[in-house]
Amino acid sequence: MVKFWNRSTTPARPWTERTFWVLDLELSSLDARTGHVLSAGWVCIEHGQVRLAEAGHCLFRQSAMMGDDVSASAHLHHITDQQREQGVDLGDWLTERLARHADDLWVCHHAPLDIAFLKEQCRRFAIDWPEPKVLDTLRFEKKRLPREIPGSYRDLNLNACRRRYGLPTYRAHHAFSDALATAELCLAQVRSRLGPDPTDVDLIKAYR
Amino acid sequence: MTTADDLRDVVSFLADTLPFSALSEDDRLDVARCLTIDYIPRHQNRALDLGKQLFLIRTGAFELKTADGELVDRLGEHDLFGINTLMTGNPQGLKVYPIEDALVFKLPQADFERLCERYSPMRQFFHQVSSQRDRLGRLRVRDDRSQRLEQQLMQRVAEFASQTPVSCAFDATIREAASVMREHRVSSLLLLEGSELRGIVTDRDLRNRVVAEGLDVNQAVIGVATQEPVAIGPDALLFDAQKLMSQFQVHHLPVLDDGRPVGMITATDLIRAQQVSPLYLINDILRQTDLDALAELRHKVPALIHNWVQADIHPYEMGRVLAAIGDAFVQRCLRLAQDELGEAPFAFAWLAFGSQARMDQTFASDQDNALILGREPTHEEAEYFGRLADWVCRALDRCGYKLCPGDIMASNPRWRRTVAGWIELFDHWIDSPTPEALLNGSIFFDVRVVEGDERLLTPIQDRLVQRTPKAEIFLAMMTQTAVRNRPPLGFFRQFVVKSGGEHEDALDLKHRGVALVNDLARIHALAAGSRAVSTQERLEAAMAAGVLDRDLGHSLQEAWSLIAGLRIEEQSLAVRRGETPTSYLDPDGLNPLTRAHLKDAFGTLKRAQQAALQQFARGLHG
Repeated sequence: MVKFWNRSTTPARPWTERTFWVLDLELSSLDARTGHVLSAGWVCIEHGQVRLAEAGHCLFRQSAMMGDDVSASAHLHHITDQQREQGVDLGDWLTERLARHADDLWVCHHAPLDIAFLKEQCRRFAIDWPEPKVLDTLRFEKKRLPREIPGSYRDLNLNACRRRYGLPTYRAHHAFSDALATAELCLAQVRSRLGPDPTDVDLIKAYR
Repeated sequence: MTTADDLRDVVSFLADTLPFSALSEDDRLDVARCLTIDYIPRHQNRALDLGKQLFLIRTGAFELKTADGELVDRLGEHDLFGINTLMTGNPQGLKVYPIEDALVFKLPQADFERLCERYSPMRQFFHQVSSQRDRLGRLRVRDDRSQRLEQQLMQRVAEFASQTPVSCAFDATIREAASVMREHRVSSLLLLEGSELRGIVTDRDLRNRVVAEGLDVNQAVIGVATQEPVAIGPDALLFDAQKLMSQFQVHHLPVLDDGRPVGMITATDLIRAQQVSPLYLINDILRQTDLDALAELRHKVPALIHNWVQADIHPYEMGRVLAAIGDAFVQRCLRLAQDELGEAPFAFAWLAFGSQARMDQTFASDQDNALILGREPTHEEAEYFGRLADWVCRALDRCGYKLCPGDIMASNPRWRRTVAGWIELFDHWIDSPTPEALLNGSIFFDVRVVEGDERLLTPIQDRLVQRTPKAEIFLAMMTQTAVRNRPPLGFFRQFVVKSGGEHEDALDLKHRGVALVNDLARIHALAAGSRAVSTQERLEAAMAAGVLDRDLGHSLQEAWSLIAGLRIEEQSLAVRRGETPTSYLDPDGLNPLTRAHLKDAFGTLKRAQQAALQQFARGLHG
């Protein structure tokens, strides 16, 4: 409760002064309790711009906790067995990344799914969940789509959303490409829908 | 850390984009890692704050404009900007406006510098783009009408200086120097020792230092000259020349290239530069005493046309003035030719056909000319006129009026005839018209005397006026030949031109535009028995004679003005860009209003062609 109190009294800052951690996970299924995280891609938005120097991509090592069911979807996600064996330990990655980005605003396309997986994995690795503010580019788009367009999945997938802002098509099902694509979409949304110089509080409201 | 595969979407774009495409894969990855990405929506319709970074357009479009808002360039995917700011601090004040939502990659200055350090070809490339935009920007600045006076002074000295400075040896006497000046009708004279400039003497020096002082004119002229005069380089701006002149209180500046005199620029040249008037040019043309100097004057025509285009002068007016300039060149060439070959043994008339006769010349008009001989020549006289015509046609070619590819020139003996010879020829065309003959021969019916005895043409015109209105088969054939070329209406169905082959999908404003109106005007004028030659006047005459419907006639006049105006505007721009002017128009560059007007104009041409077929070729058309 104290934590919440402190946060809400922090004065609003121009959004360009905040760091955004834009994240995409490739998953073996849609269920956080049974599925696995195959890979993660991320970029940062600083000073209102995507910085490719602050970006990364990694494949996670297949652990005892990962089932054999992975191979089918891994194929779809451009991941080979060899890559998975040489991959990063998910626990280490979570520990390092979550600490580093705890105070950032997180951005995902269809955030509930990614966040559910991250929370579940944190529980298993006994890592404190940092309670981040998360902006969901899909939710933002869904709220603003004209009512006559049915809100089917097709209209809200990453490339469909990007097309509405004239953004180019990137390769699909690659965590880094999707993270970059999400970051650009987020910029496009903020720059073209939120008026001049919004604050971080304005953003959080707009993405709620 | 990201790998080349992670950044594939970015790296592969760089691989398709100059100059990054020239880098190794490792270096491209290095560049990609340095990039930041920004999204710039179109509704932010103000100039971008460029900062110190290189912009690379991933998607979207921008306009590059001068400080005064003149469009310099449109930029799209794969194009770069921000280069001038990075390299020279953008002293021109070029501005960039987003005209479509855009995603841009930015390379920070430090990384840009590092890249240029490592690869000198990179720096060269960026430098080229920068100076190209700079040049474009300057051209556009010159276009600005409101500031034309000042802008004129931003042109190079070499463009306005006399090309062949008049000079004499430095040890000549005052009298010798003065007579050289009189001979060449100049107000200043360079005194040379070998090719080195020793001094300059002017009218004013002769007045103040010689006449007023009662000096002996057999003394050396160097004694009254200004020694080691102030000079200027050919690449300096007129503005610099003006500054020097007022600073040193002189009216003449020798133009020195590498220490060698290559020209002279005078206060009068500066005034001319600021009020480019065709009268000055015509006056200049008629003053030249050698062909080299005369031919040089052709370079002044494009600047004139450019100014008229900027001042929205009606293409009809432009045509008249260009014809007057063309006539002056012919007149001067004939004079120079006779100076060399001797005076003509008897009266003749130098004829112009086609565009010069109609007075709708533009850039790069070919010469179409002929001679009417005052009487049947002897063998020697015939040879004289052959030499005269040869001399003049080749001289005109040097003056920018290209030799006629169809050999319709006075240098061809077929086109040097007596009055009776010409009447015989026209009678033949009227009595037994064939499509082939008319296709090549229609320009003979657009004829005007440029120099010589105008009365020689009168009996020929009398004959035409008397015969053509009644020559039904001739008119029918003329009409059928004329409508072979159709206006390009189909063009507007898909008004998109890809930048592929040259002129591939471009509009031909000459053959499918103005020429169609010219053809229709000619037929109606011949049917009306009018002596008018210019298309506008022919249409007027045809309407007055009741041969042409008034509404259609006025629409044709408007269509002609619009298409001819667009054509000369395009040509003028092409010349400014250093390209060869053509009559092709890229419809992509048209604004929607002009496009709609153009479509209307072509519609008018189609209606007029159909009406003419009905009127003149009834029963024969099929």
